[in-house]
Amino acid sequence: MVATDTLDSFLASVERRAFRMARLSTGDADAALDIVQDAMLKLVRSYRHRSPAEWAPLFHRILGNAITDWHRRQRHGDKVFDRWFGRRPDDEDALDKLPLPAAQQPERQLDLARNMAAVETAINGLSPRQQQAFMLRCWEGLSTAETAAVMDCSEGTVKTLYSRALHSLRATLATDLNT
Amino acid sequence: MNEEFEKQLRQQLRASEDSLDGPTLSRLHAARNRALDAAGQRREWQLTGTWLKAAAAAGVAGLTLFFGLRQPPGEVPLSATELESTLLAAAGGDEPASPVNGDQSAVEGEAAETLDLLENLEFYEWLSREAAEEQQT
Repeated sequence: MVATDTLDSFLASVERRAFRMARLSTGDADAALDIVQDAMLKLVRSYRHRSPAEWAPLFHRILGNAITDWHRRQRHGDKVFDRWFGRRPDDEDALDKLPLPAAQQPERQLDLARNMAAVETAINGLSPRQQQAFMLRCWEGLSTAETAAVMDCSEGTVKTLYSRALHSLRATLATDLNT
Repeated sequence: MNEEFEKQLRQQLRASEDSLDGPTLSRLHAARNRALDAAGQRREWQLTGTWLKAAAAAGVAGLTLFFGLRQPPGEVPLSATELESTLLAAAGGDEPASPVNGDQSAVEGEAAETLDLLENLEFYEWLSREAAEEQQT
C-alpha cells in the first residue's frame, strides 16, 4: 500500500507545472484547473497502487489526454459554429507542414527572464503535438522513451516533433527579440 | 547550441511555476486534497466491504452450525414443504402453522430466525455486489 504522504508529495511536485502546461495549451485558467484536478483524481483512483516511479509518465498521459479532449470539445464547438456561420480555416496541423524556418542563433540575445510572454507566445504557435513533445521533453524532463509512451507514438516521432518544436521556437524567439 | 537553448527554456519555464498567484495555488492545493480524499474514502469503503463480507460469511457459518447442533440426534428434519409452511406462518401468511416437532412457539422462533437469516443473506449479497461494482469502477 502506497502511503498517502508519498502520493501527496508527488502531486505537490507536479501540480504547478501541470497547471502551467494546461494553461499554456488551453489559454484558459479555469479549464486548466479543471483538467489538472481531473488528472490528479484519475491518477489517484486508478494508479495509486503502481510504483511511484511510474506516476510521472502516467500522470502526464492522463493530463495530455485531458488536454486533447478539451481541444476536441472546442473543435466540436467550432464545427457547430462553422455549420451555421460559414467555414473557418482549420490550421491545427498546418504548422507541422510548413517548411522549417532558416536556422538562427537566438540564444546569445535570449534573456528569458524578461521574455516569458514571448516564450509562451512561441509555444502557443506550435502544433498541439509539438507542444506536447516539447513540454514533456524539455519542461518535464521525460526521456524520449517515456515521452513516446505518454504520447502513444514511436520514439522517432517524438524526436521529429521535438526537433521541429525547438527549431520553430528558436526562430520565433529570435524574430521576436530582434524586433 | 541546442542544449544551451533547451537549458535556458527549461529554467525559464520552471521559474514561471513559482510565479503563480495565491488563489491559483490555493485552488490547486484544494484540488490535490480532493483527489487524496477520494482515495481515502475509496480505501475505507473497500475495507468496510471486506469486513462486511467476512462478517456475513462468519454469520452464515455460525447460524448453520447453531441450527445443525440444535437438531437432536434421531429427530427427523423438516421437509422442504413443512419448512415452507412454517416460514409462511412465521411471516404472518394465511396458512396456519403446523408444527411437526416440539411445541409451536419453539418452531415459530426458529422459523423467524431462519427468515431473518434469509433476509440478511439478500442484504449481504447486495453489499457484496455493491463492493464488487465499486472495485470495478
